Amino acid sequence: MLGKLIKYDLSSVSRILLPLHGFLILITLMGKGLIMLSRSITFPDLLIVLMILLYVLYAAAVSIVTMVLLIYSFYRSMFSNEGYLTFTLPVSENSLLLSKTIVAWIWGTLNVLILFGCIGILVYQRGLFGDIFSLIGMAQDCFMQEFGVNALGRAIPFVLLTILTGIPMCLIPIYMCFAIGQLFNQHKVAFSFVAFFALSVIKQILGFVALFLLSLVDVEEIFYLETVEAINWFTAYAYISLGISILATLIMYFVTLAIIRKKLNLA
Amino acid sequence: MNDCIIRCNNLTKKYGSQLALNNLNLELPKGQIIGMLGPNGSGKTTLIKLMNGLLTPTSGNVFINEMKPGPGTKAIVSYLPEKTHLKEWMKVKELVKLFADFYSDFDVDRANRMLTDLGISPNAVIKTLSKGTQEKVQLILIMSRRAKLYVLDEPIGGVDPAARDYILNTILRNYDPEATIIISTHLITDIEKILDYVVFLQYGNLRMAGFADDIREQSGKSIDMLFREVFRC
Repeated sequence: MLGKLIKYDLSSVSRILLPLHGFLILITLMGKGLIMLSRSITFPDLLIVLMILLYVLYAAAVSIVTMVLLIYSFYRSMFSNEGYLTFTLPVSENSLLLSKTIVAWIWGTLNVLILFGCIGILVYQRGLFGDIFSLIGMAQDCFMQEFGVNALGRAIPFVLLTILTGIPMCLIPIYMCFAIGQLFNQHKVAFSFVAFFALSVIKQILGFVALFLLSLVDVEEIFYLETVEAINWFTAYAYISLGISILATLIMYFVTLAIIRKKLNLA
Repeated sequence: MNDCIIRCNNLTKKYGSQLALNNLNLELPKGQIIGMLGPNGSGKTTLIKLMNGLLTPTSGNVFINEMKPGPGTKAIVSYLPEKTHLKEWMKVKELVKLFADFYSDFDVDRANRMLTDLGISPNAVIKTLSKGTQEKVQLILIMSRRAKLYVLDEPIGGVDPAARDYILNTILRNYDPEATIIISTHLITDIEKILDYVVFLQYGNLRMAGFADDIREQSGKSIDMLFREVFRC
Protein backbone atom coordinates (compact mmCIF):
# COMPACT_ATOMS: atom_id res chain seq x y z
CA MET A 1 0.00 0.00 0.00
CA LEU A 2 2.91 2.37 0.73
CA GLY A 3 4.05 2.03 -2.86
CA LYS A 4 0.60 2.98 -4.15
CA LEU A 5 0.44 5.98 -1.82
CA ILE A 6 3.86 7.14 -3.04
CA LYS A 7 2.71 6.72 -6.65
CA TYR A 8 -0.31 8.99 -6.18
CA ASP A 9 1.45 11.52 -3.95
CA LEU A 10 4.26 11.73 -6.51
CA SER A 11 1.87 12.29 -9.40
CA SER A 12 0.10 14.99 -7.40
CA VAL A 13 3.22 17.20 -7.25
CA SER A 14 5.08 15.97 -10.34
CA ARG A 15 2.41 17.36 -12.68
CA ILE A 16 3.61 20.85 -11.66
CA LEU A 17 7.25 20.26 -10.71
CA LEU A 18 8.24 18.24 -13.78
CA PRO A 19 7.39 21.00 -16.30
CA LEU A 20 8.98 23.66 -14.03
CA HIS A 21 12.25 21.75 -13.75
CA GLY A 22 12.08 20.70 -17.37
CA PHE A 23 11.90 24.35 -18.41
CA LEU A 24 14.83 25.14 -16.12
CA ILE A 25 16.94 22.50 -17.87
CA LEU A 26 15.80 23.82 -21.25
CA ILE A 27 16.80 27.43 -20.53
CA THR A 28 20.07 26.16 -19.04
CA LEU A 29 20.89 24.41 -22.31
CA MET A 30 19.87 27.53 -24.25
CA GLY A 31 22.06 29.60 -21.95
CA LYS A 32 24.97 27.27 -22.55
CA GLY A 33 24.41 27.66 -26.26
CA LEU A 34 24.52 31.45 -25.91
CA ILE A 35 27.72 31.25 -23.81
CA MET A 36 29.41 29.24 -26.54
CA LEU A 37 28.06 31.63 -29.18
CA SER A 38 29.43 34.59 -27.23
CA ARG A 39 32.93 33.45 -28.14
CA SER A 40 32.28 34.57 -31.71
CA ILE A 41 29.48 37.13 -31.25
CA THR A 42 29.56 40.06 -28.84
CA PHE A 43 26.32 40.57 -26.93
CA PRO A 44 25.42 43.90 -25.31
CA ASP A 45 26.39 43.95 -21.62
CA LEU A 46 22.88 44.96 -20.57
CA LEU A 47 21.38 41.96 -22.38
CA ILE A 48 23.85 39.60 -20.69
CA VAL A 49 23.10 41.03 -17.25
CA LEU A 50 19.36 40.83 -17.88
CA MET A 51 19.54 37.21 -19.03
CA ILE A 52 21.65 36.20 -16.03
CA LEU A 53 19.27 38.00 -13.68
CA LEU A 54 16.18 36.36 -15.19
CA TYR A 55 17.83 32.96 -15.10
CA VAL A 56 18.85 33.30 -11.45
CA LEU A 57 15.37 34.56 -10.53
CA TYR A 58 13.71 31.66 -12.32
CA ALA A 59 16.03 29.09 -10.72
CA ALA A 60 15.35 30.60 -7.28
CA ALA A 61 11.61 30.65 -7.99
CA VAL A 62 11.66 26.95 -8.95
CA SER A 63 13.28 26.07 -5.61
CA ILE A 64 10.81 28.19 -3.66
CA VAL A 65 7.82 26.80 -5.57
CA THR A 66 9.09 23.26 -4.95
CA MET A 67 9.17 23.74 -1.18
CA VAL A 68 5.88 25.65 -1.07
CA LEU A 69 4.14 23.05 -3.22
CA LEU A 70 5.41 20.15 -1.08
CA ILE A 71 4.10 21.91 2.04
CA TYR A 72 0.77 22.89 0.45
CA SER A 73 0.28 19.42 -1.01
CA PHE A 74 0.70 17.88 2.44
CA TYR A 75 -1.84 20.24 3.99
CA ARG A 76 -4.36 19.87 1.18
CA SER A 77 -4.15 16.08 1.12
CA MET A 78 -4.37 15.64 4.88
CA PHE A 79 -6.39 18.46 6.38
CA SER A 80 -8.61 19.96 3.67
CA ASN A 81 -11.66 18.31 2.03
CA GLU A 82 -9.26 15.86 0.36
CA GLY A 83 -8.51 14.58 3.85
CA TYR A 84 -11.89 12.81 3.76
CA LEU A 85 -10.53 10.68 0.92
CA THR A 86 -7.02 10.35 2.37
CA PHE A 87 -8.10 9.21 5.83
CA THR A 88 -10.74 6.77 4.59
CA LEU A 89 -8.23 4.82 2.49
CA PRO A 90 -7.53 1.41 4.08
CA VAL A 91 -3.94 2.28 5.03
CA SER A 92 -2.23 3.10 8.31
CA GLU A 93 -1.57 6.68 9.36
CA ASN A 94 2.15 5.89 9.37
CA SER A 95 1.97 4.91 5.69
CA LEU A 96 0.20 8.18 4.87
CA LEU A 97 2.82 10.27 6.66
CA LEU A 98 5.77 8.24 5.43
CA SER A 99 4.56 8.47 1.82
CA LYS A 100 4.42 12.25 1.94
CA THR A 101 7.81 12.46 3.62
CA ILE A 102 9.40 10.19 1.01
CA VAL A 103 7.85 12.13 -1.90
CA ALA A 104 9.01 15.42 -0.37
CA TRP A 105 12.51 13.97 0.00
CA ILE A 106 12.51 12.79 -3.63
CA TRP A 107 11.51 16.13 -5.08
CA GLY A 108 13.52 18.22 -2.59
CA THR A 109 16.65 16.26 -3.46
CA LEU A 110 15.87 16.29 -7.20
CA ASN A 111 15.50 20.07 -7.04
CA VAL A 112 18.95 20.46 -5.48
CA LEU A 113 20.57 17.99 -7.86
CA ILE A 114 19.00 19.64 -10.92
CA LEU A 115 20.10 23.09 -9.72
CA PHE A 116 23.68 21.93 -9.22
CA GLY A 117 23.54 20.09 -12.52
CA CYS A 118 22.38 23.25 -14.31
CA ILE A 119 25.19 25.28 -12.74
CA GLY A 120 27.60 22.56 -13.80
CA ILE A 121 26.32 22.72 -17.39
CA LEU A 122 26.72 26.50 -17.52
CA VAL A 123 30.25 26.63 -16.08
CA TYR A 124 31.57 23.47 -17.70
CA GLN A 125 34.65 23.67 -19.84
CA ARG A 126 36.81 20.87 -21.17
CA GLY A 127 39.01 19.53 -18.45
CA LEU A 128 37.02 21.22 -15.66
CA PHE A 129 36.05 18.05 -13.84
CA GLY A 130 39.58 16.71 -14.20
CA ASP A 131 40.90 19.91 -12.59
CA ILE A 132 38.35 19.71 -9.77
CA PHE A 133 39.12 16.08 -8.99
CA SER A 134 42.84 16.68 -9.06
CA LEU A 135 42.40 19.67 -6.74
CA ILE A 136 40.39 17.53 -4.33
CA GLY A 137 43.03 14.85 -4.57
CA MET A 138 45.76 17.37 -3.79
CA ALA A 139 43.87 18.69 -0.77
CA GLN A 140 43.31 15.14 0.46
CA ASP A 141 47.04 14.32 0.11
CA CYS A 142 47.94 17.57 1.84
CA PHE A 143 45.68 16.85 4.83
CA MET A 144 47.02 13.33 5.06
CA GLN A 145 50.68 14.36 4.96
CA GLU A 146 50.40 17.36 7.27
CA PHE A 147 47.87 16.16 9.84
CA GLY A 148 47.39 12.44 9.24
CA VAL A 149 43.67 13.13 8.72
CA ASN A 150 41.52 11.46 6.04
CA ALA A 151 39.57 14.61 5.14
CA LEU A 152 37.38 13.00 2.48
CA GLY A 153 36.70 10.03 4.74
CA ARG A 154 35.26 12.41 7.33
CA ALA A 155 33.55 14.89 5.02
CA ILE A 156 31.77 12.52 2.63
CA PRO A 157 29.68 10.66 5.24
CA PHE A 158 28.72 13.99 6.81
CA VAL A 159 27.68 15.47 3.45
CA LEU A 160 25.73 12.33 2.49
CA LEU A 161 23.94 12.28 5.85
CA THR A 162 23.07 15.96 5.49
CA ILE A 163 21.68 15.38 1.98
CA LEU A 164 19.68 12.38 3.22
CA THR A 165 18.15 14.18 6.16
CA GLY A 166 18.09 17.83 5.04
CA ILE A 167 14.65 17.86 3.42
CA PRO A 168 12.87 15.91 6.21
CA MET A 169 14.55 18.18 8.78
CA CYS A 170 12.99 21.19 7.01
CA LEU A 171 9.54 19.77 6.37
CA ILE A 172 8.66 17.50 9.29
CA PRO A 173 8.52 20.41 11.78
CA ILE A 174 6.04 22.08 9.42
CA TYR A 175 3.98 18.88 9.20
CA MET A 176 3.90 18.77 12.98
CA CYS A 177 2.70 22.37 13.15
CA PHE A 178 -0.16 21.57 10.73
CA ALA A 179 -1.07 18.55 12.87
CA ILE A 180 -1.12 20.73 15.99
CA GLY A 181 -3.20 23.37 14.19
CA GLN A 182 -5.89 20.86 13.22
CA LEU A 183 -6.45 20.04 16.90
CA PHE A 184 -8.35 23.30 17.21
CA ASN A 185 -11.95 23.61 16.10
CA GLN A 186 -11.53 26.97 14.42
CA HIS A 187 -8.73 28.99 12.81
CA LYS A 188 -6.72 25.82 12.26
CA VAL A 189 -4.21 27.42 9.87
CA ALA A 190 -3.70 30.37 12.22
CA PHE A 191 -2.94 27.98 15.08
CA SER A 192 -0.51 26.13 12.80
CA PHE A 193 1.40 29.38 12.40
CA VAL A 194 1.29 29.91 16.18
CA ALA A 195 2.73 26.41 16.64
CA PHE A 196 5.47 27.18 14.13
CA PHE A 197 6.33 30.39 15.95
CA ALA A 198 6.38 28.54 19.29
CA LEU A 199 8.66 25.87 17.82
CA SER A 200 11.04 28.57 16.55
CA VAL A 201 11.16 30.12 20.02
CA ILE A 202 11.87 26.70 21.58
CA LYS A 203 14.69 26.14 19.07
CA GLN A 204 16.17 29.53 19.95
CA ILE A 205 16.02 28.76 23.68
CA LEU A 206 17.65 25.35 23.15
CA GLY A 207 20.29 27.05 21.00
CA PHE A 208 21.09 29.47 23.84
CA VAL A 209 21.28 26.56 26.29
CA ALA A 210 23.69 24.77 23.95
CA LEU A 211 25.82 27.91 23.65
CA PHE A 212 25.84 28.26 27.42
CA LEU A 213 26.99 24.66 27.82
CA LEU A 214 29.63 25.27 25.17
CA SER A 215 30.86 28.33 27.09
CA LEU A 216 31.65 26.01 30.00
CA VAL A 217 34.23 24.35 27.74
CA ASP A 218 37.43 26.33 27.40
CA VAL A 219 37.08 26.96 23.67
CA GLU A 220 40.31 28.94 23.55
CA GLU A 221 42.12 25.82 24.62
CA ILE A 222 40.92 24.10 21.46
CA PHE A 223 42.86 26.56 19.35
CA TYR A 224 46.01 25.69 21.23
CA LEU A 225 45.49 22.00 20.63
CA GLU A 226 47.48 20.17 18.04
CA THR A 227 45.72 20.73 14.73
CA VAL A 228 44.73 17.08 14.48
CA GLU A 229 43.02 17.20 17.87
CA ALA A 230 41.25 20.43 16.94
CA ILE A 231 40.03 18.86 13.70
CA ASN A 232 38.81 15.85 15.68
CA TRP A 233 37.01 18.16 18.11
CA PHE A 234 35.21 20.08 15.39
CA THR A 235 34.38 16.89 13.48
CA ALA A 236 32.79 15.44 16.61
CA TYR A 237 30.90 18.70 17.20
CA ALA A 238 29.54 18.66 13.64
CA TYR A 239 28.41 15.04 13.87
CA ILE A 240 26.85 15.51 17.32
CA SER A 241 24.95 18.60 16.12
CA LEU A 242 23.67 16.70 13.11
CA GLY A 243 22.74 13.76 15.30
CA ILE A 244 20.75 15.99 17.64
CA SER A 245 18.92 17.55 14.67
CA ILE A 246 18.08 14.11 13.30
CA LEU A 247 16.84 12.95 16.71
CA ALA A 248 14.69 16.07 17.07
CA THR A 249 13.23 15.47 13.59
CA LEU A 250 12.40 11.86 14.48
CA ILE A 251 10.66 13.01 17.66
CA MET A 252 8.60 15.52 15.67
CA TYR A 253 7.69 12.81 13.14
CA PHE A 254 6.34 10.58 15.90
CA VAL A 255 4.51 13.48 17.55
CA THR A 256 2.83 14.20 14.19
CA LEU A 257 1.94 10.53 13.82
CA ALA A 258 0.51 10.34 17.34
CA ILE A 259 -1.67 13.40 16.72
CA ILE A 260 -3.17 12.10 13.47
CA ARG A 261 -3.63 8.65 14.98
CA LYS A 262 -5.27 9.65 18.22
CA LYS A 263 -6.49 13.23 17.81
CA LEU A 264 -7.63 13.60 14.22
CA ASN A 265 -10.20 16.38 13.99
CA LEU A 266 -11.18 16.86 10.35
CA ALA A 267 -13.54 19.79 9.91
CA MET B 1 -23.03 -14.69 15.82
CA ASN B 2 -23.08 -10.94 16.17
CA ASP B 3 -25.87 -9.32 14.15
CA CYS B 4 -24.72 -5.84 14.92
CA ILE B 5 -22.65 -3.82 12.40
CA ILE B 6 -22.27 -0.67 14.49
CA ARG B 7 -21.99 -0.50 18.25
CA CYS B 8 -21.61 2.74 20.23
CA ASN B 9 -20.72 2.51 23.93
CA ASN B 10 -21.20 5.71 25.92
CA LEU B 11 -19.99 7.65 22.91
CA THR B 12 -19.44 11.34 23.57
CA LYS B 13 -17.94 14.03 21.36
CA LYS B 14 -17.39 17.61 22.38
CA TYR B 15 -16.08 20.50 20.31
CA GLY B 16 -14.66 22.66 23.07
CA SER B 17 -17.62 23.23 25.36
CA GLN B 18 -20.16 22.33 22.68
CA LEU B 19 -21.64 18.86 23.08
CA ALA B 20 -22.15 17.19 19.70
CA LEU B 21 -22.87 13.65 20.92
CA ASN B 22 -23.96 12.89 24.45
CA ASN B 23 -23.21 9.47 25.91
CA LEU B 24 -24.67 7.60 22.95
CA ASN B 25 -25.45 3.91 23.32
CA LEU B 26 -26.63 2.40 20.08
CA GLU B 27 -26.53 -0.87 18.16
CA LEU B 28 -27.34 -0.97 14.46
CA PRO B 29 -28.31 -4.28 12.85
CA LYS B 30 -26.59 -5.79 9.83
CA GLY B 31 -28.17 -6.12 6.41
CA GLN B 32 -30.61 -3.21 6.80
CA ILE B 33 -31.16 0.14 5.13
CA ILE B 34 -30.90 2.46 8.11
CA GLY B 35 -32.06 6.04 8.15
CA MET B 36 -30.15 8.29 10.51
CA LEU B 37 -32.58 11.13 10.92
CA GLY B 38 -32.50 14.40 12.75
CA PRO B 39 -32.52 18.14 12.21
CA ASN B 40 -29.38 20.12 11.47
CA GLY B 41 -26.97 20.00 14.38
CA SER B 42 -28.39 16.79 15.85
CA GLY B 43 -25.03 14.94 15.66
CA LYS B 44 -25.58 12.79 12.56
CA THR B 45 -22.43 13.90 10.74
CA THR B 46 -20.39 13.79 13.93
CA LEU B 47 -21.44 10.18 14.52
CA ILE B 48 -20.67 9.29 10.92
CA LYS B 49 -17.22 10.88 11.08
CA LEU B 50 -16.48 9.02 14.31
CA MET B 51 -17.44 5.75 12.59
CA ASN B 52 -15.00 6.55 9.79
CA GLY B 53 -12.11 7.55 12.02
CA LEU B 54 -12.17 11.18 10.89
CA LEU B 55 -12.79 12.33 14.45
CA THR B 56 -11.71 10.86 17.77
CA PRO B 57 -14.25 10.47 20.59
CA THR B 58 -14.03 12.64 23.69
CA SER B 59 -15.02 9.49 25.58
CA GLY B 60 -16.58 6.13 24.84
CA ASN B 61 -16.13 3.92 21.82
CA VAL B 62 -17.57 3.10 18.45
CA PHE B 63 -17.08 -0.30 16.84
CA ILE B 64 -17.66 -1.30 13.24
CA ASN B 65 -18.11 -5.05 12.92
CA GLU B 66 -16.51 -5.31 16.37
CA MET B 67 -13.41 -3.40 15.23
CA LYS B 68 -12.30 0.09 16.21
CA PRO B 69 -12.00 2.49 13.26
CA GLY B 70 -8.75 1.81 11.40
CA PRO B 71 -7.43 0.28 8.17
CA GLY B 72 -9.48 -2.88 8.86
CA THR B 73 -12.79 -1.02 9.05
CA LYS B 74 -11.91 1.31 6.18
CA ALA B 75 -11.49 -1.72 3.95
CA ILE B 76 -15.13 -2.73 4.55
CA VAL B 77 -16.80 0.69 4.85
CA SER B 78 -17.70 2.76 1.79
CA TYR B 79 -18.25 6.36 2.86
CA LEU B 80 -19.90 9.19 0.97
CA PRO B 81 -19.23 12.46 2.78
CA GLU B 82 -21.50 15.46 2.60
CA LYS B 83 -18.89 17.50 0.78
CA THR B 84 -17.05 16.60 -2.40
CA HIS B 85 -13.72 15.18 -1.37
CA LEU B 86 -12.24 14.06 -4.65
CA LYS B 87 -8.86 15.19 -5.90
CA GLU B 88 -9.97 18.02 -8.19
CA TRP B 89 -6.93 17.85 -10.47
CA MET B 90 -7.55 14.21 -11.37
CA LYS B 91 -9.51 12.87 -14.30
CA VAL B 92 -12.53 10.65 -13.65
CA LYS B 93 -10.72 7.58 -15.00
CA GLU B 94 -7.74 8.29 -12.73
CA LEU B 95 -10.04 8.32 -9.71
CA VAL B 96 -11.56 5.02 -10.84
CA LYS B 97 -7.99 3.64 -11.01
CA LEU B 98 -7.22 5.03 -7.54
CA PHE B 99 -10.25 3.38 -6.01
CA ALA B 100 -9.43 0.11 -7.79
CA ASP B 101 -5.84 0.30 -6.49
CA PHE B 102 -6.78 0.78 -2.85
CA TYR B 103 -10.05 -1.10 -2.46
CA SER B 104 -10.03 -4.80 -3.30
CA ASP B 105 -13.84 -4.77 -3.39
CA PHE B 106 -14.05 -2.06 -6.07
CA ASP B 107 -15.88 -3.09 -9.26
CA VAL B 108 -14.33 -1.18 -12.18
CA ASP B 109 -16.86 -2.45 -14.72
CA ARG B 110 -19.77 -1.30 -12.59
CA ALA B 111 -18.21 2.13 -12.19
CA ASN B 112 -17.59 2.52 -15.92
CA ARG B 113 -21.12 1.35 -16.68
CA MET B 114 -22.63 3.97 -14.38
CA LEU B 115 -20.39 6.69 -15.81
CA THR B 116 -21.54 5.76 -19.31
CA ASP B 117 -25.20 5.74 -18.21
CA LEU B 118 -24.80 9.29 -16.93
CA GLY B 119 -22.81 10.48 -19.92
CA ILE B 120 -19.79 11.42 -17.80
CA SER B 121 -16.57 11.34 -19.79
CA PRO B 122 -13.79 9.33 -18.12
CA ASN B 123 -11.34 11.93 -19.42
CA ALA B 124 -13.11 14.84 -17.73
CA VAL B 125 -11.09 16.60 -15.03
CA ILE B 126 -13.04 16.73 -11.78
CA LYS B 127 -12.74 20.49 -11.28
CA THR B 128 -14.26 21.14 -14.72
CA LEU B 129 -17.45 19.28 -13.78
CA SER B 130 -20.49 20.95 -12.23
CA LYS B 131 -21.10 20.44 -8.51
CA GLY B 132 -23.98 18.06 -9.20
CA THR B 133 -21.91 15.97 -11.60
CA GLN B 134 -19.02 15.84 -9.12
CA GLU B 135 -21.43 14.51 -6.52
CA LYS B 136 -22.64 11.90 -8.97
CA VAL B 137 -19.06 10.81 -9.71
CA GLN B 138 -18.46 10.55 -5.98
CA LEU B 139 -21.61 8.47 -5.52
CA ILE B 140 -20.65 6.17 -8.41
CA LEU B 141 -17.23 5.53 -6.88
CA ILE B 142 -18.74 4.76 -3.47
CA MET B 143 -21.50 2.51 -4.78
CA SER B 144 -19.12 0.61 -7.07
CA ARG B 145 -17.55 -1.00 -4.03
CA ARG B 146 -18.90 -4.26 -2.68
CA ALA B 147 -18.60 -3.05 0.89
CA LYS B 148 -20.12 -4.51 4.07
CA LEU B 149 -21.25 -1.06 5.18
CA TYR B 150 -22.18 1.97 3.09
CA VAL B 151 -22.37 5.25 4.97
CA LEU B 152 -23.97 8.04 2.98
CA ASP B 153 -24.04 11.49 4.59
CA GLU B 154 -26.79 13.65 3.06
CA PRO B 155 -26.55 11.98 -0.36
CA ILE B 156 -29.59 13.84 -1.71
CA GLY B 157 -29.37 17.09 0.21
CA GLY B 158 -27.84 19.33 -2.42
CA VAL B 159 -29.34 17.97 -5.65
CA ASP B 160 -32.55 18.53 -7.61
CA PRO B 161 -35.56 16.16 -7.23
CA ALA B 162 -34.83 14.30 -10.48
CA ALA B 163 -31.25 13.67 -9.39
CA ARG B 164 -32.52 12.53 -5.99
CA ASP B 165 -34.54 9.75 -7.62
CA TYR B 166 -31.53 8.73 -9.67
CA ILE B 167 -29.31 8.63 -6.60
CA LEU B 168 -31.79 6.57 -4.59
CA ASN B 169 -32.27 4.14 -7.47
CA THR B 170 -28.49 3.87 -7.89
CA ILE B 171 -28.13 3.05 -4.22
CA LEU B 172 -30.82 0.39 -4.33
CA ARG B 173 -29.66 -1.19 -7.59
CA ASN B 174 -26.02 -1.46 -6.69
CA TYR B 175 -25.67 -2.35 -3.06
CA ASP B 176 -25.11 -5.90 -1.85
CA PRO B 177 -28.35 -7.05 -0.15
CA GLU B 178 -26.29 -8.56 2.67
CA ALA B 179 -24.59 -5.23 3.27
CA THR B 180 -25.83 -2.44 5.51
CA ILE B 181 -26.56 1.08 4.30
CA ILE B 182 -26.72 4.05 6.64
CA ILE B 183 -28.31 7.12 5.05
CA SER B 184 -28.10 10.33 7.02
CA THR B 185 -30.62 12.92 5.93
CA HIS B 186 -33.25 15.40 6.96
CA LEU B 187 -35.27 14.81 3.75
CA ILE B 188 -37.40 11.99 5.14
CA THR B 189 -40.17 11.96 2.54
CA ASP B 190 -37.82 10.97 -0.26
CA ILE B 191 -36.23 8.01 1.52
CA GLU B 192 -38.91 6.76 3.90
CA LYS B 193 -40.14 4.10 1.49
CA ILE B 194 -36.74 2.36 1.36
CA LEU B 195 -35.87 2.42 5.07
CA ASP B 196 -35.84 -0.77 7.16
CA TYR B 197 -34.55 0.78 10.38
CA VAL B 198 -34.54 4.33 11.68
CA VAL B 199 -32.54 6.26 14.25
CA PHE B 200 -33.67 9.68 15.47
CA LEU B 201 -30.99 11.99 16.91
CA GLN B 202 -31.58 15.34 18.57
CA TYR B 203 -29.00 17.64 20.21
CA GLY B 204 -26.54 14.73 20.27
CA ASN B 205 -28.95 12.42 22.06
CA LEU B 206 -30.72 9.30 20.85
CA ARG B 207 -34.46 10.00 20.71
CA MET B 208 -35.64 6.82 19.10
CA ALA B 209 -34.32 3.73 17.29
CA GLY B 210 -36.15 0.79 15.82
CA PHE B 211 -37.44 -0.99 12.75
CA ALA B 212 -39.44 1.34 10.50
CA ASP B 213 -42.46 -0.96 10.26
CA ASP B 214 -42.62 -1.39 14.05
CA ILE B 215 -42.41 2.37 14.57
CA ARG B 216 -45.14 3.04 12.01
CA GLU B 217 -47.36 0.37 13.58
CA GLN B 218 -46.86 1.58 17.14
CA SER B 219 -47.28 5.27 16.37
CA GLY B 220 -49.87 4.94 13.63
CA LYS B 221 -47.96 7.54 11.66
CA SER B 222 -45.46 7.64 8.82
CA ILE B 223 -41.81 8.21 9.72
CA ASP B 224 -42.01 11.64 8.12
CA MET B 225 -45.02 12.66 10.23
CA LEU B 226 -43.39 11.27 13.36
CA PHE B 227 -40.21 13.20 12.56
CA ARG B 228 -42.14 16.45 12.23
CA GLU B 229 -43.89 15.76 15.52
CA VAL B 230 -40.73 14.76 17.43
CA PHE B 231 -38.64 17.62 16.10
CA ARG B 232 -41.31 20.31 16.04
CA CYS B 233 -39.70 23.74 16.50
